[in-house]
Amino acid sequence: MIKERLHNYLIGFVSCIFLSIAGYSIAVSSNSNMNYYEISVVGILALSQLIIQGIFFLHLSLQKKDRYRLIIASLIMLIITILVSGSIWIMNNLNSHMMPDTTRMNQYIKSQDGL
Amino acid sequence: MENNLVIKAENSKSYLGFWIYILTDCVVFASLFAVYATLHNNTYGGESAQMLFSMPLALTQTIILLTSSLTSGLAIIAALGKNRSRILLWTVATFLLGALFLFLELREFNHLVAMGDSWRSSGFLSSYFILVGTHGLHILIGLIWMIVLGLIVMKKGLTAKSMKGLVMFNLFWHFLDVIWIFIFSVVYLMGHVGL
Amino acid sequence: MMLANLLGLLNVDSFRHDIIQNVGVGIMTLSIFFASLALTYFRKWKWLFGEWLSSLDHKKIGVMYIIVAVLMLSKAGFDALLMRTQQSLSVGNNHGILASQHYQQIFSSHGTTMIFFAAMGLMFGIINLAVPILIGTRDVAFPWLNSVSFWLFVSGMILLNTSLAIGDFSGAGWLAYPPLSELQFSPTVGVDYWIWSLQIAGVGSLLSGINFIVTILKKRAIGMNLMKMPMFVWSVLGSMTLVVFAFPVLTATITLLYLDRLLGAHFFTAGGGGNPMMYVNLIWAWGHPEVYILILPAFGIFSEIVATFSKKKLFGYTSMVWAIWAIVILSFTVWLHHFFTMGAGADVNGFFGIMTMIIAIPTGVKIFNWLFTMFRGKITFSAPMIWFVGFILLFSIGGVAGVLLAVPPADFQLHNSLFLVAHFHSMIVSGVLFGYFAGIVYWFPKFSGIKLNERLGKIAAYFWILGFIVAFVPLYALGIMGATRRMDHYSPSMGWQPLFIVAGVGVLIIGLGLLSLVLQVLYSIYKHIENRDRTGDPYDGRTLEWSIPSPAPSYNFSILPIVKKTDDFWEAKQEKRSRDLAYKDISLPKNSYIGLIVSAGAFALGFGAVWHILWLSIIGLLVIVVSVIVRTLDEDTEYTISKEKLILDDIQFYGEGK
Repeated sequence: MIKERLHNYLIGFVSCIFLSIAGYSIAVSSNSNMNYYEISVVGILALSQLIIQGIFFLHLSLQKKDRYRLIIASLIMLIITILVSGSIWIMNNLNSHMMPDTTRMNQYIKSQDGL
Repeated sequence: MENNLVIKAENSKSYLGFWIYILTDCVVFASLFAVYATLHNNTYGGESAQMLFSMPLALTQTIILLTSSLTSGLAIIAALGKNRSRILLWTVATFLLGALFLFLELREFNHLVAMGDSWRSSGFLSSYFILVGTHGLHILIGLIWMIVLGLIVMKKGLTAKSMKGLVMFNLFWHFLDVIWIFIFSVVYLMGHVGL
Repeated sequence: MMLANLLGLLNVDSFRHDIIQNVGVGIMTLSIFFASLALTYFRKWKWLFGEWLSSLDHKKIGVMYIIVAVLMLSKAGFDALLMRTQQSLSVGNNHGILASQHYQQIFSSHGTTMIFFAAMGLMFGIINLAVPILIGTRDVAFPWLNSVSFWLFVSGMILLNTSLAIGDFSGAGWLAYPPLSELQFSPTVGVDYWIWSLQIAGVGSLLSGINFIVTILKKRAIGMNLMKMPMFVWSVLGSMTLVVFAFPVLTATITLLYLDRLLGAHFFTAGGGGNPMMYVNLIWAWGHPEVYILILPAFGIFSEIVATFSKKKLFGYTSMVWAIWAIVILSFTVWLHHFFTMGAGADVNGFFGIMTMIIAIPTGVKIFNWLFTMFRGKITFSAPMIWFVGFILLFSIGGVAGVLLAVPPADFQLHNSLFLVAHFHSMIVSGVLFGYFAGIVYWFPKFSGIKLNERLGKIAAYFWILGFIVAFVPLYALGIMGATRRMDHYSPSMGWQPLFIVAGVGVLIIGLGLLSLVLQVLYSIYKHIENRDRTGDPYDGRTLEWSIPSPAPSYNFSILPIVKKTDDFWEAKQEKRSRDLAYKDISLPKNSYIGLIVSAGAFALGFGAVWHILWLSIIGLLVIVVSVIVRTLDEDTEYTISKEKLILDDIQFYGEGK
């Protein structure tokens, strides 16, 4: 049982280090601004780490003793997804219906620096 | 193995209750992420994430925290083996790694503020400091918890209560690592790519 | 932070108020003074502290929650009376009895107090009283944490009420939207009082949420599967799940508002890269689940009451459970309907409008199930049933008004009008309040051993129903006629004054209703010998709480029950099952003052945060941390009750036969 735990921790640890370095390499070797492909990959790597850490560090499984924890965790993840994506959708929508684009406004302000 | 105090602790009501508490803490961080997502481009004429953050530092911090997650797990394995000195050894290791993480983070915060990029400068920086700062505050609480836990294990040994404390701390520490992975990915990696 | 000045922002002016506020402070101070006098005269201080304030017994904690909640209900009700008086008088040249500034603080205080302290207090009170007994266990999962939750609730309440005497309160409404609530437009400490009393009470609520989820999942009687639980317990599980999902969002959001005010951050400021709309978005992402947190247990109470007083099994148990969970999930998908007019596009508004209409469906399922339960049952129209009938009529009307508001174009006309105010009061008064009043009346014999006077109970219910109609139906009309909420003055040419006066009379009738409720309790206690509940089962009930003596002993069940079916107590009576007399020694948690101490620490933390007194906040924080550590190290936290005592208690109540 101890051996099994140790295995889990080592597998989890090595996988997560690998996933972190992978994300890092993609980000620092990126040439373009706002490449959605790269951003998505980094996102998927993060979610994979979440699942791996969930299984190997937080002992989530389908076994009966872990079931309540799994159900509650899944529910919260659903709620968090709704909360964060809903908020981003709403705020984006609101911002786009508001005053002129602040990014360009800020760039303009910066470009005036020194004048 | 069913009579093992660690296994009993993991099947206890306290463990389930603490698990739920951890998830509520995730919702707090989710709110802070939502705020960061909304405000991260509001640099108010100041520098953006791409220009401000050091990638190598972020990766270093990530690896330190991941390693500390491992050492924390090794402390639990030592507890399963009823080895008091090993528990203390791995807890001290986790503490040192956590303290190093926090030190690096505070140094970076200090550097930013000294450059004039504090939480008062813009919506972007307010949201950055609260997100990463709240995580740092939790790390600090974890460090204090480890000291208390270490003292209890030293004085009272492996009891039902001390083992409950150990497994709950372990949960807490792992969860902090999970949150950091998202901070690393969203704030640093995606920020560097210009999101 | 004023490090130089030891008292932060506090000065003599903080204590100066206008006449009406001074009257309020006077009433508060005099009440505390006379209560202390009475306690000293009757030598009850030791009893108060030893039996009640340090108790970890969920029943005592429940009673204390309810007492505090009813006090807060009265205070906020008085706020309502002031508002209605102002709105009846303040027309044309007359500017009523309240200055604008003061009026704003009163409606802000009314909403804040009602939601966070009256409604949440009643809810947690009833949940504490009933849930452990309904699931056949001795106490909640974490009794000490339960005590901490209650005392944090009290601490928040005291901080809120301190704002009446020292400083002022927020004038930014019960949700304190920025930019109005930012430092620039609310330079006084009022908004900080609002933030910190909610933070402290909010932590208490969150801990209770965790406590009851674990209690329900892990402490049910043997044989009580989830699908055999009483419906009230299911509704509490749903509500507490919502607490756990939603309250962290509140905590995060108002912390950010505080940081804007304290540290000059730019989360929600109008400039500097802040986004005030984000506050509105997040606060309602909490706020909508909050109203479902309040209503679900009330639905659960009605499920129990309708089944018991129709002498019939609850109709559609499975669909009721699904309805609860549909409501739980859906309540997280509708929050934008509180700000349709903030400027989102038609696609976003449309999505949330449709989701809002969909969430009405599970509630409709529940209403039909209650009615079907009554159909062909042997109905007794006791006082709790009168509350239920009032609820069915008034809540349904208010609910339909809500579905109208869910249509974005309609909402553009009605948002923030008195139509909206009438709608949500229909939900909260005829839904939440009626439900909790019915629950208190229904379970009163169980926790006090005294049956309540039926006549006064019915009178109270009738006053509330009549009063509600007179106070709020005019508001539906006023809203459609264009009257906005939070108005302290209007032109006579609008023609609104007669309706405002009618609404004012309605509040007086509601006041009579509240008075009748209190009188009912006091009179029944006065006549306690005749009203004694001698069987423990005054209604020939269905669920486990009626199988124990009244008042319920500290240990609840002398023998923990083993359950076979839903409504097992009823089934056991029909089958004439005999009890398996397996008495055993039991251990219960000892009393503890730590909850009280943590609460004092929280108050110090909050007060210091409001007035920028750093040393006070630090001391408060240290008190909390040290108390928690001390409790963790405490080995001696339980005491034993011998089985001989259990047997004696049973014989004393039931006689030798049992």
